[in-house]
Amino acid sequence: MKVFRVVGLLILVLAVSTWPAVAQEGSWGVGVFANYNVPVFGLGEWYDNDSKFGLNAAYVPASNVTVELEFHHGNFTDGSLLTRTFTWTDGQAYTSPNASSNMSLNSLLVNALVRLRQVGQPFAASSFAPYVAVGGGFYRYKNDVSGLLWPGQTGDLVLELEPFTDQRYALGINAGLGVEAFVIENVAVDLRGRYNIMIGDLRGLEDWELSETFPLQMLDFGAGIKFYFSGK
Amino acid sequence: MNRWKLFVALPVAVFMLVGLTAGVFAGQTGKLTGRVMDAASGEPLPGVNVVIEGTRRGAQSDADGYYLLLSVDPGNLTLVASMVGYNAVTKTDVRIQADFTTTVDFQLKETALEAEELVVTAERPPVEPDKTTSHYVMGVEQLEALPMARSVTDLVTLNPGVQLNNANVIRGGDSRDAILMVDGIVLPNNDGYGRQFTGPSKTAVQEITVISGGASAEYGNLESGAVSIITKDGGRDFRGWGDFRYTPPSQKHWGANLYESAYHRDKLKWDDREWRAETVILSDGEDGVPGTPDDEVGLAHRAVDYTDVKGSYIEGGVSGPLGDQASFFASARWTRQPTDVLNTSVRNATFDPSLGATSLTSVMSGGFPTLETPLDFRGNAKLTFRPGADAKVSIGQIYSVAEYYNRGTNTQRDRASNGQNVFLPEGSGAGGRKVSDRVTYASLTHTVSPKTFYEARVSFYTTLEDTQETTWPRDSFGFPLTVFGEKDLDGWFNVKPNNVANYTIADRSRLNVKLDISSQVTKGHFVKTGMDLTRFSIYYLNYNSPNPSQRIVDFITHSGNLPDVKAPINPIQIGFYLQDKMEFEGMVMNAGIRFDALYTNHRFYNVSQLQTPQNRWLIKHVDMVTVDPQWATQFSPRFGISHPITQRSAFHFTAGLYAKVPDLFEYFREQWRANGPDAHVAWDAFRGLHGQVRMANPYVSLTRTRAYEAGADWNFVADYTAGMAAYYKSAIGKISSGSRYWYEPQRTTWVWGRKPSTYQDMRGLELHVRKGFSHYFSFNAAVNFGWASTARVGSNATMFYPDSSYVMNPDQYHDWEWNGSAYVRKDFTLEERMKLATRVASWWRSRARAITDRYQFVIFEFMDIQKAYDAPANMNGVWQPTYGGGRLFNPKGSDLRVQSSLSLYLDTPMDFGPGLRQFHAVGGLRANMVWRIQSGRPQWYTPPGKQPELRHRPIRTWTDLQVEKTLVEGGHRNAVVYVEIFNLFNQQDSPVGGSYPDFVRWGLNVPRPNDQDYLTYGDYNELTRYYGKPREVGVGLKVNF
Repeated sequence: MKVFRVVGLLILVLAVSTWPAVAQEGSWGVGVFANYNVPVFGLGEWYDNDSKFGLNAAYVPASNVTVELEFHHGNFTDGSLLTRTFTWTDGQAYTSPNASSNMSLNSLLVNALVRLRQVGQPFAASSFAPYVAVGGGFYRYKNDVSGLLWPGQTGDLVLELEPFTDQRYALGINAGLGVEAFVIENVAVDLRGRYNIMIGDLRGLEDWELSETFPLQMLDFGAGIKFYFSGK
Repeated sequence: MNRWKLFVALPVAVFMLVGLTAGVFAGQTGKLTGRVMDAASGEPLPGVNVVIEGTRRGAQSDADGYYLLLSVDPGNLTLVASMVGYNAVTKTDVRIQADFTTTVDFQLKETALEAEELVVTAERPPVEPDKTTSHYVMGVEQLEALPMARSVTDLVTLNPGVQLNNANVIRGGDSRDAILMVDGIVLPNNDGYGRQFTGPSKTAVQEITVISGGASAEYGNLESGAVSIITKDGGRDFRGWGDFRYTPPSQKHWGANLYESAYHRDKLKWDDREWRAETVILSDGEDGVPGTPDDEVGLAHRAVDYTDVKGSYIEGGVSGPLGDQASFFASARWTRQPTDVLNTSVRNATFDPSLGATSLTSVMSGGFPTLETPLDFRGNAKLTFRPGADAKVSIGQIYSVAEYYNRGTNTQRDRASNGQNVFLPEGSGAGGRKVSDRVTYASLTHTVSPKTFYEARVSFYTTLEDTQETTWPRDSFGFPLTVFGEKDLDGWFNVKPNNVANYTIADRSRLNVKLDISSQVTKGHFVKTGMDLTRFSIYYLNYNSPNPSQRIVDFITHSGNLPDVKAPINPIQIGFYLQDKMEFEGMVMNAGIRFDALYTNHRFYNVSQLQTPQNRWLIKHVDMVTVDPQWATQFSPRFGISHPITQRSAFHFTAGLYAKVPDLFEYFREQWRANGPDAHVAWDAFRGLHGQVRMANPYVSLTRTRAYEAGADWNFVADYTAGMAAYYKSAIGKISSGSRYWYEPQRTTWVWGRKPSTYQDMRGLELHVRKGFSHYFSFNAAVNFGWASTARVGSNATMFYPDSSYVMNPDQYHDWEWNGSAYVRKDFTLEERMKLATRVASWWRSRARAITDRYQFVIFEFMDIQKAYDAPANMNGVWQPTYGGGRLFNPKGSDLRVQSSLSLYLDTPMDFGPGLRQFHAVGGLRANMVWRIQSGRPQWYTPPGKQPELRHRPIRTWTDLQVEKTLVEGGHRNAVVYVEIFNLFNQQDSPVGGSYPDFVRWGLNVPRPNDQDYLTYGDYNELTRYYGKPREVGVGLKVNF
């Protein structure tokens, strides 16, 4: 895969080009992440868990705080509408054979990682620090639905609803816990789990037993690798 | 005369001059106090001079080291404390806020030699210790940090409690429940103007205070909150600034171009040469004869590229000294923007930030029928004199003028008639209007002793509305009827406008005199009392013939000026207040009481006689019995308390009654209607009218609102502050329409009356989090939850049944008829009277039975007309109030509205980030982003097989962004370029109108799949389906010099 080759090359370049100095206050860093999204509540009614990928840039303003700018891209595909049924006027339940329901989700966030405890020398090899992550920013979602049969029709069941899209650059916040473990003194592995709330909505489709969803909520679990540079 | 005699004599003189006076204005200055201590011993230092640098104002510390300075102008200042034998200490950036106490303590070191002055930067406490209200202050730094908010109203909406799209709505309620003040002068919104004049442009503002709840007794004539704007004074140096913004052409509405609308797809024949060449006679030319060569002929289908129109916004000002004792300040703003969609019904009173520049134009009931918004100019000028250290005199004027066209179906090129007006000529067949507001004021602030000062203000605020560019000639009251326009040969598009008669003449003036006296009576008691009086002079007349079969005359009147409506009305509004701000060991209490009153100042026609046959003619109102002028009064106690919880947190509670004078049109406005041309006097708006639509009600009382609030503020870390306020308020006496029926044997008629019969209950929670500016950024987030219910109580209709003796009396029951030159009395014969009396008696019997049989569940009451409405002694009949249409009670809190805003501000110093020589790409950058969200309107919905539920329509969010880059900076001079983007993310939210059930069940926000027009043409209503408009970008240049 071309993408993996590029990312791998990027990691290699970063690993060999970082300063072998202890990165502390004033340090900069970059990282890549792979996450697993777990939609909950109303959003969980629409979609199953799915993956996302991202990049972040980190800055260490104080020894116990990291501020990071994070971008993620993910998708939810083949939502529950594909198998959901509606009850037509004849009393029978029907699915929509052409139904399609997919959602893309990108986020641009600013996070603060507040280290709770430091095990080992900060930013040194084999050290690690659990942290609380708090952040906020814009989550851009785009939910495309098409191919649904129209339950309101009479005669033959042939008319489909017009495809529709719910999309928004939703303001959102997240909070969670993580741990940052340094493999070598300038390279860390980062594991985290967070709860995300997005101030956005998905329209209801009550004939398919999907109520209006507001706000959108999900958990995400991720693992990443970060490379620090000395800012001194 | 010594100062105490002056202190007593001056207010008494003003009192005598104006009769009574009232107080509806807020404190415009702050209080500065503190203690001076010996740094070594910790003992208080008496006799230390504390001076405001650059002024002659100062105070001396007392035996306990305390000093006090009253009536200090808001803004940042520098304080210097000095005494012989001690080093001087200077405190910079001392922030004074109106109505707040600023405490600045000094510690002086004893020194034998003259030591270098110690300079310290003062810090205002993050939580105000004397905040006994929900009180939000935006100082000049914050105003400058919010470039994205371009108007005063836009800034106000970012505060907790204020509705996001209407700066006049605070904590729910109606758009006239709040008051707006400029330099302490209330700009009334209750004299039938229909809009709130918002005063100067943004750059003229020094400070904005928003009181969302718990306003103290000095604030009067309000039901919800108050907005106080303090304008800038000139400084000691000459300054100038300018701002030019350019809006590039673009399509500014959703959906297809109007000339490609799906709705007209088979009617737009651009490939058809004949269709393109079709002409229409727009006017008969100078000779007035149709078919002659001078006729004005135009293409019937003339499209204009309304998407290729540029917009400009220019604002600038100058300020500076005028000698040693005076200064001046002047600013002006002019804007002309492309209209978004060939006419929109933007109203100034319902400012919508997402509409951007267009919404800056002040418009009442008119629209923008042309390609550009009409003239919109606003400016203000202020002269300030400081004849001594203890006195300040200001003279100012605020001026605004706007022009717009009268709207009306098929009178102008717009979207009316489903877009069939898009080929009409520019302008309007209904004429235009010019509206100007002018406020001229003078104020005197005089400190008569170190602990006492007074403020006196006189203002004269005029609003003129006049009709212009009419298509019909007019004389004083001879009005024509509307004439239909013409359609094209296909009979689809309107190509010649209706000539609609629509004339308005309105002249409002408000002379206001105010006096406030403030005194620090003791260390713990700051007493303030005030009075004010407003004498209105209001003339208003509107004649409107919206179609050839209808004429409407709308006017305000009183006994004595019919039938010509030539004299204005002159009601008088007065008030008085007394309050004491008590400060004890950190606890602050504010207790006060105020008195508000309205004196109608005119005799009224007795409304119990309206619609009797002989009074059914407007011109015969002069013969009606009149009643005395009326007083409407109300006392309003107020109480607030603030107590510190910790050094970084404080709690407050308020309770109070708030009274407001309803719109004066409720007391004075009448509306009459006639269908068809008058058979007697052609084109006469008044003499032929005998159908009253709306009647005045001189008995309307003041609206009363009880309000309670508890809140807390907490500086939880660094410069982050959170606040919360929970409130409950209940308003009674809100005005609504109620019909009045007159059952008389010839004809049953009814009139809309105005009754104080509606209540509003509102509960809410306001939350906010703010960060002061540090580390290059700040933010301000506000969330409001509001639950409201409103309903009518009491009767909404009243019926009058005359009895037979009334009908039999010729002096009480007769009619008029036109004899060719005048109206003469028409009496009924005895036989006719007896017949009518029999019918009346029959009605009485049947009505009584109907009441028994049909309406037993309703509380009915027959009221004697003499007792209930002061009817003349010889007038016999009863009033029967009845209920219908309205609900007695609504479930409380049934309507939840949520709204929130977040404004984020980033600012980097000029040398920030990597640079090349003197240029730093990310230095001198300022970015301001404002994000807003509103819940959708409530909607009752019945799910299949279930009970009705109250739902809410979808949310709406919108985001605006401005980024500035300082190009050149040197001292106070700089040049800044900026880009601003409205609706940054091009968010397209829909209010979901009548199709809500389809939306809930099937997600349908477009016509159903079997809609034939939709199947043929696609989404023909896309243009109106969504809020606001698409992303709009503007670029600008600002200079300060």
